[in-house]
Amino acid sequence: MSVNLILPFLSAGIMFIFTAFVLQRYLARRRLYSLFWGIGLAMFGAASLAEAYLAVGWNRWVFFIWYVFGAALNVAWIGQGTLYLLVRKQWPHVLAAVLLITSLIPIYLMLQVMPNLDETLFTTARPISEQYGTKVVEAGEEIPAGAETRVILHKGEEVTVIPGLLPLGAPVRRTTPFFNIYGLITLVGGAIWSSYLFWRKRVMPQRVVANLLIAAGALSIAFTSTLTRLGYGSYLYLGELIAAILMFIGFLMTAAPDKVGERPVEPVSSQVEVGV
Amino acid sequence: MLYFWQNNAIIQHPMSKSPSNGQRPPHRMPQNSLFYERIVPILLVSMAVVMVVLILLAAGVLLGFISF
Repeated sequence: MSVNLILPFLSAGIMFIFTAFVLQRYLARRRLYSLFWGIGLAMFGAASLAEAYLAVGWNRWVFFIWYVFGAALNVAWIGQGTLYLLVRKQWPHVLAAVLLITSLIPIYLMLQVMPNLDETLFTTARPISEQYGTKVVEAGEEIPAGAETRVILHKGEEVTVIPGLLPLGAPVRRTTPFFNIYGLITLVGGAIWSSYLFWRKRVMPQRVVANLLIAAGALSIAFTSTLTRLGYGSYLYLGELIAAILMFIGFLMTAAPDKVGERPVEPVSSQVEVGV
Repeated sequence: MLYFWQNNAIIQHPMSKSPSNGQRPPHRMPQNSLFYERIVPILLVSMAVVMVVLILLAAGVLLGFISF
């Protein structure tokens, strides 16, 4: 078994358990932040599973899932959950509506580009994150060893490219930075802000650490996604696994009852200290 | 926190109550902890910086300043 198969498979397993925890919490308490977190994490899990599938074979609809849910949407949806957790006002509903509607755009654009995927380029020898995009080779830029290049006509000009599954200039690729910026601000920014608030008040040390872990996990996936975007896709699967582990541990720490405030008090005997 | 079993009920020790509203105080950070006093603020600032850099990179890709 290759690393390209094991890492995303592990990430998917962790993410689906994580999703089950979060959605169970939503069913118990009906809080919107749990719902958005659950949906975003399910997207993350589905994308990781798609990566594992694409390590052994090709399927265009698995690629569709990987790109739309993995590259574009998941972080923004998890971040929307964090926004609901932090802001108890009406305006997050407006942003949620905008997110819901704009999430249809990458789905639509991806459906449009599906007939133009260059499936002949697909190989299981490299991770999907290294072969999905067509990259222009700038003048003087060093071409990676073993990389195939083509000269194509783009906007009336001849350009040298390293071809990928998606054609050059596919509009769907323009949409991902919007969602990733929104997800970064809400998810990472929200976790850092929460951690800072607890730290400043010198309370709930467990939640300080939990939010740090969530922020670190989200930064891990954001960092490796950015590297992938810039042409270095080999770190993506490791980044996803680190993100899955750190965020899940962080969530479990925040979900654990506070040692003082929520611990059930059992009467032991008369005049005996039973609290913490 | 002290609790007493008295007259078939659990009674909180008066000295352990929060002085302002009678609620239990939240769990507090350990004092003089190197981790909470030094490492946590460094981590918070570092992560915030990395986040801003990643946002700028994504914005650069979006605006066409960075090729992809």
